[in-house]
Amino acid sequence: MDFQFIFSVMPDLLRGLFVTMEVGLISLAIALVIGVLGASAVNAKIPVLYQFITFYVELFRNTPILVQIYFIYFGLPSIGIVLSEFQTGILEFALWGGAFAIDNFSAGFGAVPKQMKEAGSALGMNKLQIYTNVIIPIGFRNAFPSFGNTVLSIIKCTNYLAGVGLFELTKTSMKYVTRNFKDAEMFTTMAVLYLLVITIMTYILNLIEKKMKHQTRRAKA
Amino acid sequence: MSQAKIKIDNIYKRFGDLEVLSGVTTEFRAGEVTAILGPSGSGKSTMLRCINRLEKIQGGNIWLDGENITDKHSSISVTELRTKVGMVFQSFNLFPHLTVLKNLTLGPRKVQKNHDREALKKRALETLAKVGMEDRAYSYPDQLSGGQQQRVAIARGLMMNPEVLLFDEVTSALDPERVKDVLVTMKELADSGYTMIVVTHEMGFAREAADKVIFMENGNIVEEGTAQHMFEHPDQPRTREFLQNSLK
Repeated sequence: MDFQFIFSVMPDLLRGLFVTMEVGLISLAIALVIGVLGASAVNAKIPVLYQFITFYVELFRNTPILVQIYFIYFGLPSIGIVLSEFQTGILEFALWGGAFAIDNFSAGFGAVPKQMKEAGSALGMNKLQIYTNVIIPIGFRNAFPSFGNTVLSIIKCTNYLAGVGLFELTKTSMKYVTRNFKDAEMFTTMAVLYLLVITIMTYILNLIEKKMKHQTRRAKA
Repeated sequence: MSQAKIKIDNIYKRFGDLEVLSGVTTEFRAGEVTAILGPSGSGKSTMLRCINRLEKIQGGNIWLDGENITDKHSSISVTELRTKVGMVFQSFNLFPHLTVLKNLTLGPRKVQKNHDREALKKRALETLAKVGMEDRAYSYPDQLSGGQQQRVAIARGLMMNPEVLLFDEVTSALDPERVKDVLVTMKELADSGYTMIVVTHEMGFAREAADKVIFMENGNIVEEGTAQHMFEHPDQPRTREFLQNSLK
């Protein structure tokens, strides 16, 4: 193992990792918003919008990520939408993550016991007040563990963007595999960096989950 | 004689093919405590839920202070009705993500648009003191025992300044030792003049605290009268049988 080489390319790899995290976290934030709003529309069964969202979720869940990325990067220009590799990444993972987040949150919102809604009604709150003050906060806590999986998937799957030439961590590492034939060094380093980031993310997610947990046990009973 | 606070006239409630209330008629006077007794499935809880419109009725009318609340054009909105008529549930139904204090202030903040935080907090603490829970204001519901949660739930209902309180088997989910704490709280409320309608299996409470007792079975009122009348010499053999079995 050529450690000297690993150290010499480390700044470049970290730049790649930064791009990975940038795409991951920005699209994650958008996916979160899509998830909460989409799940609300699904739960409220708003006509037309509900069918549209179901179609969108199925479309993104049931086609390969790479196909979606190719469609955005190579397909959209034919209707005049030209996006950079980075923009393609944000759009793809905001939409892909959003589709999964809608699934996560609609399950979580749906699992809020109907007694909670009744308690809100009995206080005289209207539907919207019950939704924003009772269903969303309790449902968000219900959904958080499965949403955490979506978060980690988004971060890991951003490496599909290597397919359109975005120099995130995987693409950057592969550059040194093909140019310097440092296969073992690069694959190992890449794996360690991903593992490190995902472990930290998992730790943070667990921390948030734990903090919210003691307030939800009763809601599930 | 005080006037009817709530009047129920010939109400029907069906869940699909199942008729749960078959033409129930009765009235509840202002300041009186009414205990509703009866076997499971007799329609007691459903009747209570119809009063604050958690259930829609299929026939009949309900009046609050002489206003027909079942009428679509009623001058009393659902929100107004529910502010005047508070409800406490069997399973407490406190909001698990909010502290005790915030459970109490959520209704006033959202429904009554009361945004004076300090005054609201002060009133919440006073209300908690009434039910003996002022020292747990910053706890979360699942850090409390069932009896404590139920007393908080009662306090939450009181925060809306209701005129009528509905209690739906509020002690049924509690262990026997905790039941007493909740009943003491309810007795105090009864003494302070609230109109209370209490669906319960607590015969002792009905006998001691209720001005009026209603016995229901199969979606009908079998018999109603003063607590003394109902417990000591009811007219209907079925009432006697039920009460004797319950008091054993």
